[in-house]
Amino acid sequence: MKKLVLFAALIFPLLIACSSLVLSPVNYAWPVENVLRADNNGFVEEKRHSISFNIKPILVTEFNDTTNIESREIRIIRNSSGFYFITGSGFKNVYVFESEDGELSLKDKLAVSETAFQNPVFNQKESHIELRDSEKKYVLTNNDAAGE
Amino acid sequence: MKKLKTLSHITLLLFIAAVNLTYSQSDYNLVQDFKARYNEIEDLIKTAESLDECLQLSNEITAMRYSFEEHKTLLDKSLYPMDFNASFTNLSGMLEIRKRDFLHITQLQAEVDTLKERFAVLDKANISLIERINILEKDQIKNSKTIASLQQLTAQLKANIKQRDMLIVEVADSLFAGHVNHPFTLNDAEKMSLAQKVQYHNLFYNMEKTIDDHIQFLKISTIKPQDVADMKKEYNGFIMMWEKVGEKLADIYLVKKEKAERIEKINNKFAEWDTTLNNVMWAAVNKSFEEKNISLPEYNNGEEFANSVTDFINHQIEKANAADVEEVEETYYTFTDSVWNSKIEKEWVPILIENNMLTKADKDSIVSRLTVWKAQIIGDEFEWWVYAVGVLILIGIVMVSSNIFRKRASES
Repeated sequence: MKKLVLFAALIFPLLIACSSLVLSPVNYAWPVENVLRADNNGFVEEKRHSISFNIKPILVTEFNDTTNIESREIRIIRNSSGFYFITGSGFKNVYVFESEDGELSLKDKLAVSETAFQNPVFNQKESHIELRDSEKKYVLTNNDAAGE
Repeated sequence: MKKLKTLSHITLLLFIAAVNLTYSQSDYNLVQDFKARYNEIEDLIKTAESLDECLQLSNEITAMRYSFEEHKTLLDKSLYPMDFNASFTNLSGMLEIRKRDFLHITQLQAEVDTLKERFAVLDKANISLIERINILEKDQIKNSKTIASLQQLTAQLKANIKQRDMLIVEVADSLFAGHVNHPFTLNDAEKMSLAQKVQYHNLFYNMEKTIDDHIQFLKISTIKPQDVADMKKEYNGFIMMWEKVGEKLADIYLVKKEKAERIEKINNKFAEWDTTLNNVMWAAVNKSFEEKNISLPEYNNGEEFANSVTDFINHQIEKANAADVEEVEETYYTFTDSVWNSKIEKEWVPILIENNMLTKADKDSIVSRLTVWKAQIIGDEFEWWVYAVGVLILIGIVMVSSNIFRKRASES
């Protein structure tokens, strides 16, 4: 029992030291957005940053429809904090995801416009993600969208 | 011209793009636009057809750089694994290489033009010479003036053909001068460049024309024994050169059926040249016999020649045994003194043996039959001559003896 206590006493500080190792700041920002087309099964792949996922759940949420999935195009960009911003033509919302172990989980659904986007584009800016659609321009953060 | 139009379109597009870029909403589109233009100019560099196009492309690169300069930071981040400057360094580097290609091609073209001109001059002169020789050859009555001009024209034609041969060798040497690696291996780009040079030099046509000229020359000229060595030497030198060149060309044109067939055609022409050369030489040998009304069975090579001559001799030997000795004797002396000893054995045989057209064994078989024939002819003569001399000696002895006896009888 004594031995166990001694062992724990030695290991515990080490574990504390490991878990407290933080690299900061990290800039996850992609310089430009990417435009990805889904395959028949709904998967998109971003080759430069090596990420692939299925967009069916987003389409279900946005349109409640997954027909003609192979003709769907989404636009994706990652901000400096590491959140993924996803939208597309016909969307009214921008979906903000955070990366987790083997999944992307929805951090926020930004209701940007009451009308569907026609040609939305993301641009990486110093402090935020810029969303443009025709003449309209929006400033996006992890949890907020504001028109300019 | 089509290319220049494309270039004008690019200039226009760049202008529109420059205007668009000012109002561009998407960084992504801007990067894509940059990449598309980069690829377009890269393709145009690869397919540029002249130095002028290269110079125009140089302006396009400058214009493109200028129009995207303000987005350098974004492009530096987005053009992974390259960046803004590296992209333009790449394009300029490619353009420089292409320019050098054209400078080299221009230089090569100038050389080719000079060579083509020299080939054309010789070809024209040869056609005219062949025509004139043909006219003189057809002339039934040849006076000394005709013969002299015929000889002069033939000598001129021979000199021209030799000059053309040297040009071909020069061309072949220049083609493969930079490719001396053993075994001969070329990458696809080198193969393409070499094929282009072959086309520029019109090598296939010139090879065919040279062989045709040689064949034509053989057909119209009268060959003398001393010409044979030169002709064989020319043929051997040429075919050796072609074997080296042809092998390399076959490698280059491995997948091009038409070119491979052209190489095969030239190989066949070489075979025709060799056959014509041999036939013409044997015809010249036979002419020595025909001039003395000695008709031999046809022959086209050394073995056939030896068989033909020995058959003739055997026939004559048989004929002498049967009858008509006088005729055989006359044939024998004509054959040996006027043809074999003075022309064939003395002039032709050494050259034929030297050029592997006749073996020493073939010659020995003829000489051995001639010895038999000689023994037969000289043997008969000897018998008659000996009898005559014997009779004369006997008469002499009888006369001397009778004189001696008469003297002794008168003394006693």
